[in-house]
Amino acid sequence: MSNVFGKYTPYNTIIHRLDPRIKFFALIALMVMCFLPYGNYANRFIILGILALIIVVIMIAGKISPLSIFSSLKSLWVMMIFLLIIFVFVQQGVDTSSLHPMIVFSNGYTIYWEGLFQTLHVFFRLILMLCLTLILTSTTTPMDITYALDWYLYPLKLVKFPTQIITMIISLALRFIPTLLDESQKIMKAQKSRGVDYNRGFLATKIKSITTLIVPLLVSCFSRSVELSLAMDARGYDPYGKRTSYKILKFHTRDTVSLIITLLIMALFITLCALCVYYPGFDNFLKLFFGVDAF
Amino acid sequence: MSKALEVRNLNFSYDSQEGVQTIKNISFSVEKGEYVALIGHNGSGKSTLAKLLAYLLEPQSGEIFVNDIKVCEKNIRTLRETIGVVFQNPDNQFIGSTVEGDIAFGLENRAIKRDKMIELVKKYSKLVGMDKFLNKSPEELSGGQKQRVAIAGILALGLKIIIFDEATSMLDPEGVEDIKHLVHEMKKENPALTFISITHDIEEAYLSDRVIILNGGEIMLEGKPEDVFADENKITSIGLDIPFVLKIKNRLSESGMAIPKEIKTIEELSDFICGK
Repeated sequence: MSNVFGKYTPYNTIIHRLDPRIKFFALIALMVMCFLPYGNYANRFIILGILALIIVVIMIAGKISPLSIFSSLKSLWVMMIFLLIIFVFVQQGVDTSSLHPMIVFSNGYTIYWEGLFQTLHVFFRLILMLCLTLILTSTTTPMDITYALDWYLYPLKLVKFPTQIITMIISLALRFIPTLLDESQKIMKAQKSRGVDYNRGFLATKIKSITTLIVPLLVSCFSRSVELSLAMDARGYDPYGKRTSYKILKFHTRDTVSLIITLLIMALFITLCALCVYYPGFDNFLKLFFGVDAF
Repeated sequence: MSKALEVRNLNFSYDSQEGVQTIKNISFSVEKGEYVALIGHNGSGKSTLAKLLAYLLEPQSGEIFVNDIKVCEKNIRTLRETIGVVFQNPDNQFIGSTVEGDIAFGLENRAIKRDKMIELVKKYSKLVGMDKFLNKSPEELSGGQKQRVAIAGILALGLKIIIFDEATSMLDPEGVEDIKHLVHEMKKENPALTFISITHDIEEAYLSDRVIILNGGEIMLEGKPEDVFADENKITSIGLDIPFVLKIKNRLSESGMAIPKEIKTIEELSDFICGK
């Protein structure tokens, strides 16, 4: 369990100590920043590069190895190849006059550089988003994330939406993940001792052997939930009743500071984006500043 | 004096169509401050009875009074503030994500002020010896520790009647001893606490004030432990055993050694024999 991607690691860094609400906000804000239009490809890569630098600094501050992201990318290779095929072989829009041909086949079919760049661009964004999520999940306990979520759902309370039920469901689900993992391990051992082989065989055999795990796990899940609901009932839980909260989130100076920093970063990127969109010439930094013709 | 618990002609079945009656016309009462052990073989209906007493199941017919309050939907809030249950599986009753969160769960439900909650959590976690583990999550705790947290969660509510529904049956011997010791402390701290223990542990039942033996949904025997366990043949005929101390006492008296009735534990017995 210890090396699962994105699992909470109990360090005591500044990032860990931040209010989960701030971290949640910063995550979303920076994710949005990944998606703003920043002009041509050279521009996009430069600006995303700046964003990446900021993210790497946060990761180092939170004692997360920035390289660890690449170990999780293995499973994304298929997706990247798929994207590459789509972007490279499918024509980019109707007007191809502004594109830069990479390979021109004899029958006139052209593969453009833009296809490759677009794939890289999408992938760059994806990696940044993964990094951001990684920062949140590995520096914040699942419970703190739930508390933050509860706080953000507050406006829904005004329209009588039972947010406390949603957060209770999430927190119970999080509470039972380790218990059920433990249980599934036990069941697997028990089934292995009865001759079930989970590791070998073709897909069909594997699926068959997985059912020997899933069925008992489901059954025990249900019996657990019945007992849990009884225990909750016995302790007077009323989903619609008024409850107080034992845990409260406190806003510290460091939270205010990081909120301001987040807002400043947002301002920077929004300004960059606005420049690229509204000022002709700004959508091509390299040409503007260095006179290099980039696309 | 009003009774802590009064059960009159209680009937219950899980599936009325099949006609299997889990609880058959049971009547009994429990005095305030009494320690009652409810024992019986698997399927004798003892866990069902516990759930009926705490209104987690609705009786088919018959009445239950808890501190003179009728057990029914209308009185559910008062009931929850009077009677509580500690269940068998330590994992499935751990609701909070940490020890303190779990102890506070019942208090949160009652909308108790946060300052008061912190105070209560501190007090009762100390009482059950879990005050050093307040931030631990359930997967870092042993079964016995989790069960102690569950007990703290129930005690913090300041209930008058506590039911243990086989609370020790999933624990290792050390955990069982722990919980037994804790119950002893609990009773000493608050003699007015009525305590009903549903158990498989004959030794524990022997130390209670009164024993009720259930068999097939009916009360078979009821009375002081030494009287109930006196008829060895009857007890063994329904698949139960008699306490070890009693066994030795019986064999000793068969061979002509008179043992006083007051002796209830192995320690007392060995002291008595050695002192002789």
